[in-house]
Amino acid sequence: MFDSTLHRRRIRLAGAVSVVAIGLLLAQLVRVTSFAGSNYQTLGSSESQVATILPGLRGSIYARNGQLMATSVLRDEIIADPMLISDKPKVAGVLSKLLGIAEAEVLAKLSVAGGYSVVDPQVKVTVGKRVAALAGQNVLPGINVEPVEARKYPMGQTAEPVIGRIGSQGQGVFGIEYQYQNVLEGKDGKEVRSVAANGLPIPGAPISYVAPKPGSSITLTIDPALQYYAEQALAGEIQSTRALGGTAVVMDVATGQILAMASLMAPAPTGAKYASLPNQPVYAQRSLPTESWINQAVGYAYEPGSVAKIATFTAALQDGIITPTSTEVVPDHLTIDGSNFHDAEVHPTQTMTMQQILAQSSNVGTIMIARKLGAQRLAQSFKRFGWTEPTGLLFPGETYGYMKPTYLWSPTAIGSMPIGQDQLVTPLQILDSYNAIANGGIMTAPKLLLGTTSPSGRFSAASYPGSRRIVPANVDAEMINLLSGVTGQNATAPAAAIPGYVVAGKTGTSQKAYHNASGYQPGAFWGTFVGMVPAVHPVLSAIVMLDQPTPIYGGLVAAPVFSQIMRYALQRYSITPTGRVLGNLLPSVPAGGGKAGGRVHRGAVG
Amino acid sequence: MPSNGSRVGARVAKQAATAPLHARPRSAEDRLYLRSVGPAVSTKRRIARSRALVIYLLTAASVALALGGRIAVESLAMQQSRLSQQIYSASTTQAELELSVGKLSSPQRIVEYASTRLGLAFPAYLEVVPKTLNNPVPLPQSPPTSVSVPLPAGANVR
Repeated sequence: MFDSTLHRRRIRLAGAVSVVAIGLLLAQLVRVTSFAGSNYQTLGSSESQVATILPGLRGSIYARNGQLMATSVLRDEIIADPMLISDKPKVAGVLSKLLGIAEAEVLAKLSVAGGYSVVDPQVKVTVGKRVAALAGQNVLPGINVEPVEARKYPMGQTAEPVIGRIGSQGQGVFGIEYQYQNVLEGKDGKEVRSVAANGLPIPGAPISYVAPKPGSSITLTIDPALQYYAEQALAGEIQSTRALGGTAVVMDVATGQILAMASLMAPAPTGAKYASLPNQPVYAQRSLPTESWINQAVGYAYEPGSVAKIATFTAALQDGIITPTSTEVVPDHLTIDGSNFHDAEVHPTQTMTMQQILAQSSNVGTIMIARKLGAQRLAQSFKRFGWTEPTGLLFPGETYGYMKPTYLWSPTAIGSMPIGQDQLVTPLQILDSYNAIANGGIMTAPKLLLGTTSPSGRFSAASYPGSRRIVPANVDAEMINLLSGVTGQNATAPAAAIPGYVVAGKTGTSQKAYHNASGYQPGAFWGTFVGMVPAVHPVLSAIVMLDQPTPIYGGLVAAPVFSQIMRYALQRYSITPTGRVLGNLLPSVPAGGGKAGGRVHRGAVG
Repeated sequence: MPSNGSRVGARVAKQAATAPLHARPRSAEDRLYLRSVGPAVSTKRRIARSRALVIYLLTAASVALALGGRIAVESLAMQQSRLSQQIYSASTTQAELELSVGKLSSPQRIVEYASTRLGLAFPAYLEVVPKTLNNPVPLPQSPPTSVSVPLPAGANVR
């Protein structure tokens, strides 16, 4: 008997199931088409499209004369997928000939486990194209070619601590490369092309193309010829004095532009040890790690020694405590709070002129002047010279030194501070101070960057803090006169002299402290000479510092290097003994040149 | 026996009676009216045909335009791609050339070349000779003498 009720129930059930099924299908349709559409589209197109990253090349670094110091070029990386290569010896043979690598080496790279092996990280694009063509013809199955960026330094190791280097990810890791990472870095582009089933590109326009954007280039103030010469001169002295390292910086007085910044480290011998504890025997020749990437001119803060006397003399002249013609009765030694300070040589109490005190680097005479000056005025003088202050260079790793505030000075500090102890300062800060004296008392920020050039060729000059007067013009002239005696007879640095020119400057020899303990390392010294030339109208200033030289004295080890570098520079820039610049390699200076009394005319930047 | 004409008349009458209303023969007035509107219907058809033709042509033109435009765009894209690749290639070549120039003009290479190939060496003593003879007489500078070297500042604290 036909049961109509059951029949109706079945129909309703079937209808409900159908409605639910259709509803689910509709929901899935909406989901696939509206919400997950792009994913499926990507999946669908992934097998028929190939995306290639086009490296946005990093900007170049140029010297002031346009000499290339760092640049990026396009190279190809040859990558193998060993899992796709069945006949490895055959592929290795072909690749070996193309890449110029031994067949066994290539075969080893093709035989690694997994699906990724770099056969050659950088080959020229022409070679990469040949490999890619053979890969497309299935002669080199499983071989891929990817464009990569290669950073090149055509000047080799020259100026390495200044220029810096990039890391494996293309990021600057130190030096200018690090400091101007944002300016130099390029932006990668991307090209998506259709490919056939065999992987060959289908002719036609790319599906999408984003052009790579190269980074901006930068131009430094460095003169590559002088840089190279300074490094050679410094290296020779490091070698002959068996020093650990050293630095030499040459600056254009009027503009503060750094023309050369050499920083060298002698390689550490096997088994070199740190001298870290007072009771540990010092291996005097090698007591520091020798990281060649450290720019010692800005990265090392050290007790400067007698070059610090500039602060005492300038403040004393400015406050009328001394005059260039005044004299001081200088005993052999002074006792301050139980500590004895004495001069280099035993001498009877004698009357010394200011020039003698400075030229012979009399510690006692300087301390006597400093005591008349007082701690506050001495500290202010150091501050005016910018010691413990940023120089404005903002070089990576640059330190600003250290000096105790006067309320923390010990009773003996008035004896040690004037002669360059109890304080830390970088060679660049010292040079900047002497450069201010050379510049008529006006301090200019040291500069390493001339400007940046955008990919479209637009040059933007770098901006720096403005100049400021720190010493009155008349005091400045007196200081230069006093400093000129340092390179004369019976002074500490006749080796800095340059025949035909008057050289003004100051020596400094100071003990090296332990890294992580109090006290000084016996037998370990810094030797420094800082000066300017020609003293009549200084055009160039420079500092040379040697780390643990033998002999230890700045006047014997650093002064000759100063003289050697400056002789080359004076000739190169055609600077006369009166301070006229006849060449055109130095930057032009506005009338007056920032110095009271006027500077000489110059040509344009070469 | 009915005449032939009456048989035809009867058939017509029968057909007229059974035929659908719209197919029935019109009266004389109707025929007159239909005759008078006949040409208007034909014009409408022609207009309709023309419209269809225009639409067809427009569609064809649009398709052709779209195709042509697409081809032009594709062609321009290819051209742009080609030019971009040329620019990219040229800029990389320029970078390579610049690198070569940089290497060739590097002081390091020049000095090495001068010393190894030309047998030159840096002078042991360098004296500065200014460019012009019109310079004032250089100031005398004492030659290096034996130095009275002080002890370094750091060594003085007993």
